Amino acid sequence: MSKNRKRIFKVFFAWQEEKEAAWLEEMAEKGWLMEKYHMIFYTFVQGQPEKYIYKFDYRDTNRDTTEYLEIFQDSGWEYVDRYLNWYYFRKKDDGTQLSDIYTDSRSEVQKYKALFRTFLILGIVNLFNLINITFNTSNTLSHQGELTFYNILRLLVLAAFVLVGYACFKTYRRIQGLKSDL
Amino acid sequence: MDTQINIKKYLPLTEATYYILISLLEPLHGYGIMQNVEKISDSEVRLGPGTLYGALSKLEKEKLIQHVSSSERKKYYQLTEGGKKLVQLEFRRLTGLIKNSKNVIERMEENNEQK
Repeated sequence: MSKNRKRIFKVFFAWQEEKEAAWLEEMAEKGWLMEKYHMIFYTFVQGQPEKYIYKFDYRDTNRDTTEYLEIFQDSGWEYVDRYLNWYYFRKKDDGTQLSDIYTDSRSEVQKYKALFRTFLILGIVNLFNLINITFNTSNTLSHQGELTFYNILRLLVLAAFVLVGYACFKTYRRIQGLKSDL
Repeated sequence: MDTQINIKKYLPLTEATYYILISLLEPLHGYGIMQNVEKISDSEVRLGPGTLYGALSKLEKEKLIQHVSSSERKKYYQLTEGGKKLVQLEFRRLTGLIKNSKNVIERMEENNEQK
């Protein structure tokens, strides 16, 4: 990795978009512009310290991605990276332009509904895993060591299930919040 | 008659959707719609790309607009017959709202002047 790049390990959950954006904006003000995101690693490139606005979008489809990105770029949003179905955009903040990618709550609800659907599917898959692992191990186990292994696995699957469940709840709450206007 | 009933379920439209629909009597691409909306609304209404893209894909799915051609990387859209009917219905609905509330609003304004 060259001198003017750095990699930072940081974890944000799907319901912490504002926090994540604020952190990326802070980095930009220090002259570090986000270049890539992978798993839990952010790669930054050094540039001029400047004020930026970061926004994220979520799509549950890969259809028409070229057209999708084109509309963002035409309207002044720079496409930074994409991870799974999350898209990272940024724009220089001069205080005069439109600072959001969603300008009404009805369309923003669509974004979170897509996210909610994804979490719901993940949650159901996880639940099946959990049931499977809890009831299928008893007859196959013979060694003490295996038992510990399955216990750890069970715990991990349970933790994933709780996390996805919480993500579902947070996304649902956000949808309700957006819908509450008259 | 059947289509009329079906289309009524989309009412009322959001401001964004209404402006997008009235921009598409002639074929236009996404960014063209944004510019047009800003122009005809005297910069009062500006659409974010997320809102615009979301509305376009929804309207296309409901067959209220259709994809007519592509150039470079841009897709051009235009109103379908259903889309035209919808925007006319909404126009009539809005005109009715204005007409029926005019009296009340004018009285409010008169009261304000007297105070």
